[in-house]
Order: sequence, then C-alpha cells, then structure tokens
Amino acid sequence: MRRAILFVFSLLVVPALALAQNVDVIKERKANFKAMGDAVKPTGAMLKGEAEFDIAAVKNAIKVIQEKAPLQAKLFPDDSKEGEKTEALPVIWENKADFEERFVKLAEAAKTAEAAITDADTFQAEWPKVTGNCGNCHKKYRKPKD
Amino acid sequence: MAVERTIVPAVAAWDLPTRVFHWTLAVLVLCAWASFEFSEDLDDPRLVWHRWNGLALLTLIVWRVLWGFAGPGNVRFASFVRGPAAALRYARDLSRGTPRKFLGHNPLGGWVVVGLIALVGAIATLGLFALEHNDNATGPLYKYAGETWAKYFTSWHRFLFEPVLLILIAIHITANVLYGAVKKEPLITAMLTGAKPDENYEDAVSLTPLANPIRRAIILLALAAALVFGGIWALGGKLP
Repeated sequence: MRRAILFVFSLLVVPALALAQNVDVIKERKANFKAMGDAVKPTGAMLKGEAEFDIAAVKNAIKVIQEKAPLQAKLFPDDSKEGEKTEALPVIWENKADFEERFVKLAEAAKTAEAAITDADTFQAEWPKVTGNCGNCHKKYRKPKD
Repeated sequence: MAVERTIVPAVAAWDLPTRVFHWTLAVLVLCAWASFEFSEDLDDPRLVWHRWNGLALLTLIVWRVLWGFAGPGNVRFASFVRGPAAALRYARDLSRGTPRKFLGHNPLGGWVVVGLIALVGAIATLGLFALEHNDNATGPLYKYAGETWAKYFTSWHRFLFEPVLLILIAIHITANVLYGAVKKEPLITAMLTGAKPDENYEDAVSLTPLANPIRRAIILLALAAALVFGGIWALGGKLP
C-alpha cells in the first residue's frame, strides 16, 4: 500500500518539478538588475542635467555594474522563462549567445568609462556608452514598459 | 507607322512645394522610426539622429499648417476640410460607386490628411517632452514635464506612432492604391507629377494658383523653422 502511494505521488510530483520554473534564479537576477538600476539612477539625473556632476556616484555605479553584470549571464537558465513577474522576453533564449555577450560588453564599457571619466564634460561624452548598453538590451530583450 | 496614342489633357492639381512636402514627410517618418529602432546599429544611445529628425518633422508640420492658410487654393484647409455630413455623403456615394471627383482632397480623404498632419504634429510635440527609458536622452523641453509626466508623454509618443499613425498610414496608402487600381484615378501619380487628367472636378473652381509659390514656400519654411527652434530657444530648451 505504502509503495502504491509513493508511486502515485511520484507520478504527480516528478512532472510538476520538471515544469516548475527556477524562481530563485529569477529573484536573484532581478535583485542584481535592481542594484545596478539603483546605482545608475543618480547618474541618469546628472545626464539629464537635473543634478550636479558627482564623481562618487559615477564611481559607485561603475563598481556595482562591474560586480553584478558578469553574474547575470548565468542567471537565465532554460527553466527561468516565467514567474516572479519576470520582464524577460522569450527571445532571450533564442539569442542566448548575443544576450550573454551583452553583459560582457556592459562590464567592459564600465571599465573603459572608469578611466575616461574625470569631469562633467567627459561624463556627458562617455557615460552614455555605458548606459546605452542598458537601453539597447532592454529594447530587444525586456518587455516594454507602458 | 505612326504610333497612335491618346493624349489626355492634364490639369494642375498639386503645386511643387506640396509635393516636396509630402514625400519629405514620408521619408522623415520612416527615418524617425528607423533612427529609434536601429539606434544600436547607429551607435547612437543618446538618440541624436532621432531627436534632430523629430525637430525636422515638427518644422515640416508647422510649415504644412502655414501652407494650409497661405498656400494655393486646394491645399488650404478652408478648401478641403468639410463637415462630417459632407464626408458621410461622399462615403455613401463611394460605396455606391458614384462619387463626385475632386481635384484636391475629397471630403473623406481630407479628414485622413488632417488626421495624418495632426498625428505627426502631436507625436513630434510629445517627443519634445519625452524621456528615453534609461535616461540616455530627453526631448529639449523635458524639464517642463518632469520625470513622471515625461514617462506618460513618452508612452503616448510611442502609442500614437504604433499603432495609431501606422493604421492611418495603412488606410491612406490602401485608399490611394485602390483609387488608382479600381477607379482609375491616378492619385499617386498626381502627387509625383502634380497633374491630374482634365475632367469635371467638383472643386476645380477653387484652385487659385499663386504667383510665385516656391518663393512663398521657402519664406514659410524659414518662418516654421524660426517658430520651432526659436520657441525651443525661448523656453531654454537644449538642442540635440
């Protein structure tokens, strides 16, 4: 009897597990994106001319990007397409190589900017080369926000 | 052996400035889309191309509005914007296959033209206050909107283009192709050559040609540019 129950139970559970989405990974990548977004936010205000140039904010954003971006590529396994209100578009898994490459490019751009940005003028010229990576990737791989 | 051919006498329908306006508008609308869609390929995260393109479109639309008051007879709003009753009557005649012919815009098409001009104008104006979603670019008057409103304006900027403007453009192109194919009225040719076959047109009497349309058009274009760029300058806006 116990064996029969176990058998029926496993029949139910195994497919459920196979279908289940990897929620932890979605939570993790969302937290990383949020950390990068929060760090970049003050630099956006500077870019728009709403805030004074502040090298500390730029340095912090560069640090957070270099820390978090390389982690992201691995956080989009095949079983993480849905759940946790993910804004990831299915097209990510159709262009996995291009998608993963973008995090490498982002981290590299941050590294380049670190050396290039010294004042408000170099910031205006160089910083969009970093944050442009965010916009380009979102346009292709993130659900549009309305 | 002599080639026999029928010469259809032609009559002027569209002046040169109006035709140049039309095709420039078509090209710039296409470029507006492309300069945003392919900003990555253009290596233009700050949307510099897209923003200049928008200012050019706004200037063009202001010019068309001025031309609608000071242009030759059949491009004036007063000559082709008719009431809803006239538009419905024309639509009814069209569905019966017995519409009257117009040298300028017909009462139904006139509303499509007004809609296209108003939509492109509205999209370009909203763009003045818009915000790229990663703070990489703003319209020149963004500071008057502030972030919250700018986000609304930006989603309207987008929505009025896709789907609203795209639908109206599809209607416009379909109608013009069908007039040519089904009713044998060469409307697209007329917008290229300026001429239509000489027939009995409902509105032909209202066509009063200008003495020097090109000079007048250029002066109005300068005025339109002065209004757009002077306005932005007066409001303290920053150009791309």
